[in-house]
Amino acid sequence: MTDVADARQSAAREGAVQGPAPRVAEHLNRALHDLLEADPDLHVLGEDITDPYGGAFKITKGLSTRFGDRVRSTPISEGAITGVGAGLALAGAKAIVEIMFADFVTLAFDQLANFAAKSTAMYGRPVPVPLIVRCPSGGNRGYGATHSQSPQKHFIGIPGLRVYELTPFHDATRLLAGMLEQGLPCLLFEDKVLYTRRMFEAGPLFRVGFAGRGAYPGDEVARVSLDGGGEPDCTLIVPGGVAHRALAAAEDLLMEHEVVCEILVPSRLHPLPELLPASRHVVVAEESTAGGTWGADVAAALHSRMWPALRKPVTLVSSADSVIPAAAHLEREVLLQPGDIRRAVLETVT
Amino acid sequence: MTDILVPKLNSNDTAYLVVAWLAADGRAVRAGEAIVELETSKTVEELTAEHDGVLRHALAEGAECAPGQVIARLSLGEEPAPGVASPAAAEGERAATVVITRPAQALMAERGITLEEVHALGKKVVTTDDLDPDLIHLSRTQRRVAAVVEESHAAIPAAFTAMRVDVTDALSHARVLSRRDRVLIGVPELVVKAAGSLVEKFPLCFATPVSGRSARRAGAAHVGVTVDLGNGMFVPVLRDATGRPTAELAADLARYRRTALNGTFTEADLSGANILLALHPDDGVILATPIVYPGHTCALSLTAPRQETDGRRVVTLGLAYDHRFLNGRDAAAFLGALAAALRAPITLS
Repeated sequence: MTDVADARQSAAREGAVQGPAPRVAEHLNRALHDLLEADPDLHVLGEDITDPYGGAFKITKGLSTRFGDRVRSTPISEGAITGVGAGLALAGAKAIVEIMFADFVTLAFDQLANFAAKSTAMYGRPVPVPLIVRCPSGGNRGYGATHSQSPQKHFIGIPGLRVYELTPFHDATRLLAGMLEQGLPCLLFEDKVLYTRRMFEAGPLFRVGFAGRGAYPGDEVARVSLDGGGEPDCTLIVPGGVAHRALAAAEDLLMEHEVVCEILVPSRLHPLPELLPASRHVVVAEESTAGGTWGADVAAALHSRMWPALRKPVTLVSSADSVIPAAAHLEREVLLQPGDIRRAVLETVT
Repeated sequence: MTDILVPKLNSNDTAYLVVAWLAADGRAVRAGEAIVELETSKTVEELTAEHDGVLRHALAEGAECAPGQVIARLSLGEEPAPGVASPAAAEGERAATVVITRPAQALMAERGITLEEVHALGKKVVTTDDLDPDLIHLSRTQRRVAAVVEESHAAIPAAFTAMRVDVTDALSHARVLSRRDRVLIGVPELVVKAAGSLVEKFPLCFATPVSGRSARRAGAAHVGVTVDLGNGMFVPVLRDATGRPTAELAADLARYRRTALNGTFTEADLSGANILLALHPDDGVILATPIVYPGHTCALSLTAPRQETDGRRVVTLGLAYDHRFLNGRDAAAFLGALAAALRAPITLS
C-alpha cells in the first residue's frame, strides 16, 4: 500500500501546495499546464477555453496565454472538435478535448465510437491514438436536465475506448500522462461537484492509500479506510465523483451505527481494474440514473470472481430512473445522496 | 463572549479557506472592523466584528472552515477573554483527537465513564466494544436466528403437541436404503419423506398464511431442516420432499451438513421452505419445542431414537403449530399419520 502522501509530495514539488491541498479545479489546471509544458506535441481544444474566459469551469485558465495556438477555442460542434482531436492524435500529435458539459458528449459519440476507438486497430497494425476527451459531468448544482447528467455508462464496453473518472485522490498529472501514454482514446469524466473540493483529503477519520500498482500511472485503485478500524464490515465501491458522498455516509455509519466501511475509488471505470474488497459485503454507488449502470458491470465481475466469499449479492445504488429536475429540492430526490448510500449499507450488512 | 460563525457565502462551496487574520489574536476590535479574510472558490470576502470586544481566533490561517463553524470569539465589554490554555479549550482540543461513536457516547453517559478514561484507552476511534470488552456480540448467523425467533414469538400464537413414535422398523428400513442407495439415511430423512407424502392429506400444515383467515395451498413439501454443527444454526431447505426419492433428499442433507461445517450457504439453499423440521440428535433429549417459522403454519421436532424397556426403539415427534390455522386434533392427526408412515416404512423410498 503506497500512501497518498506520495501524491501529495509530488503535488508539493510542483509548487502547488503550501498549507491546505489545492482545490481539484486548480490541481487539474496545474496538470494541464505541466503536460503542455512537458510535451510540445500536445494540443488542447474546446469551446471558450482560451483566456480571459479560461473555460466554463476555469480548468483551462492561463493555458492559451502560456502556450499560444496549441490551446484553441473552437466552434460549437462537439463532433467536429472530437474528430479534430482524434485526427491530431492519429497524425502523430496528442490532443486533449474539453466538452463543456458531459451531456453534450453524445454529439461526439460517432467520432469516439466509430472513428477514434476504431482507428487504433483498422490500419493493419496497432496505431496509437493519444486522445483525452474531458467531460465535466454530474448534477446536484441545479443546472437542469441537459447539464447535469452522468453519461459514463453509455461509453462502457466500446473496444478501444477507455473510460476514466477524476477522483480527489489520484494525482491529475500522473493520471492524464498515463492516459496519453496508453495510445488509446480515453474519456475523462469530471464530476463538477469535485472542482471546489480539496485534493487528497478524506477527513480526520480516514486514511487514503493505493491498493497495488496500476497498469499505467494513475490506474491504481484508491482505498480509503478507517484509521485504526480493523476489518471493515462493508466495502463501498464508487467513482471519484461520489467519493465525498461515500465518505459522508461512512462517517455517519461509523458514528451512529458503528458500521466500519472502506471505500474503493478506481480512476479507470472501463475496462475495470482489479477491485479487491476487504469485506464480504459490497455496495456500489454511482450518480448515473438507474438501468444499464457501471455498477452492474462491477457486480457481474465481482460475482463471477468472488461469489463464494460474498455474504450476499453486490448491492447497487444509483440515481433514480428519472429526467433530472432543475429545482434543487426535486433534483435532490432524483440524484444519489449520502443518505441513499447509508441506507444501502445498513440494509446490506444487517 | 459571543461566537463569530462562518456565514454561507455562496451555494457552490462546502468549505472556505482562512486566508489571513486582519486582527491579531487577543486584540481589541471595534464594531464593523474587518477581522478576517475568507477565500471561496470564486473570491475573497471579509468578515467584520458585530460589536466591540477582544478577539480570540478559533482557527489558524490556512485552515478550512465550513458555514456555521465558529471562526472566532469576541468578548463582551469588560468580560475577560479566556486564554487559550483555559480548561474548556484544552478539553476541546483533546476531544478533537479522539473520535467517540454516538452509541459509545451514550454508554459513557449511562455508565458514568469519564473522558479521561476514554483517552486512557489510547485509541483514535472509540466504539462501544472498546468501552465494554466484556460484551459478547452475537454472530451474524445468531442475529438472523434472533430476528426470526422474535418475529415468530411476536406474530404466531403457537401451541404444541408431542407423540411417542416407534421407529424400530423404520431404523431397519433406513439401513437397507442406506446400503442400496449408498447414502446415509436415518429417521430424519424418513420423516422428511413421510411429511412430503402428506401434503394432499394435510394441506394446512404446508400452506402459507395469506391473512389471519386464509392460507395458500402448497403443491409440494419443501422441508427446512435445522443444521447446527457448532458454527451457528442454519435451516437449509430440502426441496420437493413430495416428488423426489428419499435418497436424493438424503444426499442434499449430507451436502448441507458439509456446507455447515466448512462452506457458505447461498440464499437459494436457505429459502423457500413451507415446513420446518428441528432436529435434536443429542442423547437424552426427550422433548423439544420448535418455533413456527414466520410464513409457515407448523414446525416438527424430532429427538434421537432411544431404547424402551421392551426393546423397541422410539423417538418423540413434536409439532408446534399456529393455533389460528390448526387445532390439537389436527396436530394429533398429522403426527399420527407421520407415526403410521414410520411404522410401515416400506412406502418411504
